[in-house]
Amino acid sequence: MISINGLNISYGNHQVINNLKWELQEGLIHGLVGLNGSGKTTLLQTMCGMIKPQSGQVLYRGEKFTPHKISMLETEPYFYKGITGLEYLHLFKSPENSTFNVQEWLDLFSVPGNELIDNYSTGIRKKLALIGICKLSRPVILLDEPFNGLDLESSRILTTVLKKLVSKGHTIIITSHILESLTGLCTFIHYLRNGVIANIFNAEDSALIDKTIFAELDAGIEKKIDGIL
Amino acid sequence: MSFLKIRWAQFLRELKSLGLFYALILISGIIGILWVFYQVQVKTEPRYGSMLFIVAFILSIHLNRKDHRFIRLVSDQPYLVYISEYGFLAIVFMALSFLKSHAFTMFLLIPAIASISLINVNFISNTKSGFIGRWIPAKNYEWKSGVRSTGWFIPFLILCGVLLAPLPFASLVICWVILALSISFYEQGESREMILSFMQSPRRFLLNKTLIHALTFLMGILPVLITNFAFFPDKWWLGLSFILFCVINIAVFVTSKYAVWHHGQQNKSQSVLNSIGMIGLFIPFLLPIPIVNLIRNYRKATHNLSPLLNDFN
Repeated sequence: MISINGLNISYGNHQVINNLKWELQEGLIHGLVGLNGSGKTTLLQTMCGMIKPQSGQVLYRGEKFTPHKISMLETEPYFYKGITGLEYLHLFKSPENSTFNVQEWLDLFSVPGNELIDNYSTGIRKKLALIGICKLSRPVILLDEPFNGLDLESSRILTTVLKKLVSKGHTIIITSHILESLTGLCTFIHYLRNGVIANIFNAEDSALIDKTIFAELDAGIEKKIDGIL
Repeated sequence: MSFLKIRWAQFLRELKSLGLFYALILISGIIGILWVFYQVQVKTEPRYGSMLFIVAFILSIHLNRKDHRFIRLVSDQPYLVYISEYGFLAIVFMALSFLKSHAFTMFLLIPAIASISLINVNFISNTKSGFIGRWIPAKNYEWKSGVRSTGWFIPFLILCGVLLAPLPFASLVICWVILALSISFYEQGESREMILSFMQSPRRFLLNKTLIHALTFLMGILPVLITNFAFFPDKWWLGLSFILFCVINIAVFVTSKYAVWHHGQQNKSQSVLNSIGMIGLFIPFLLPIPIVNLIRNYRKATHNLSPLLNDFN
């Protein structure tokens, strides 16, 4: 179980996460949705230790989350300039008894491992970061907008890979602006609103999710457009 | 002239960002360099040595600077911009030499500056040779990336170091230039995952990095050191002292990087201080600066890395 207790994060006067209590079952894919600026990325970054919260804690199996139990794919993954994809992947050690074969993964995602990362497109960079995460094989994986910049084929491969990882016991938390990409993949979808988890949906209830999240937004937009047009 | 005005404004901005204490050290360092240079001109005759130092200094600036593309974009004749900037830098040294009637040697600086200004660094940077970086260990990505960005220039300097070994101190000055070049290798911050991949406590991580980097550097300049020793076996202590100087400075570079490290961010704030420490090889009173920096940076770096690496204690 992943538990978050009394988490508070603010930037100046702006409270992004507000006394958040959140429990996540292990071995599942959890979707995290929220409108723009709702704090999804901040929440993921706090979970993996990139942001220090003002208060509260993130626990994994009742203990403090340690960085080597969690890995995160950022919206725009950062790489070191002047090294090749293969050299980047060789930095990471896969767990003992792992049969991870770097070349097979590079071939699967069509990543040119011997080229400098500087020459990679956004999509290839994302795929390289994903391979790195798969190689590390940490129990909890956070994916921030993993489908952004990915081609259709790679998106399909990623979906299959994520399902496979979950079947091997990993817990995945995934954010996406495209609700449809989550409903077909996740078990639960968590709606982040005003710094708290406002609703938890069963991913099959896509109509309910759509209605809850977008009803208020759609009404506001329609009013604005009516005023303009 | 407008470029010189921009540079002056940038210099004042940098000075402001350093804070009063380090700004005072920097200004005293500059005054100290000029004073030592003047004394050398007055008391001794190593005119070529002092000229070589200034040429090496300007060359390292030319190769390290990151605004080549900008200068090429805004100026039709970029080499004129370089000549005016480097000429302005060297003019104080030239004036001091002129006062001591060493004008001829220092006038040799003019063709040297002109030649440096003509070096097309963008061409060197774009020559991404896989061969050069391949021999560097994967864990030393700073040098792998840095050596690649300078292309064949570092191998060329090593060759020059070997060829100039018969001249006293020349090969060591060239090794110093290589080390000075490496200061810019430490400006790029890596991702947290890359740091985590070491799976070591902050102390071990810093020690391990320093060892890998020092070994990489020393292995690279080994041919120069051996040739230098072959020509001057009685000056073995000089080579050893130089190695010690280099290792201390590499430790300073590593710790300074992690003292301000932040996931995926570039930080150039430490480069000025690291450069002042490097000048200590020529100005003895600046020699303690790397030691002070090392102690200060080590504490900051372990503190900065502890949230990430404390679990590996």
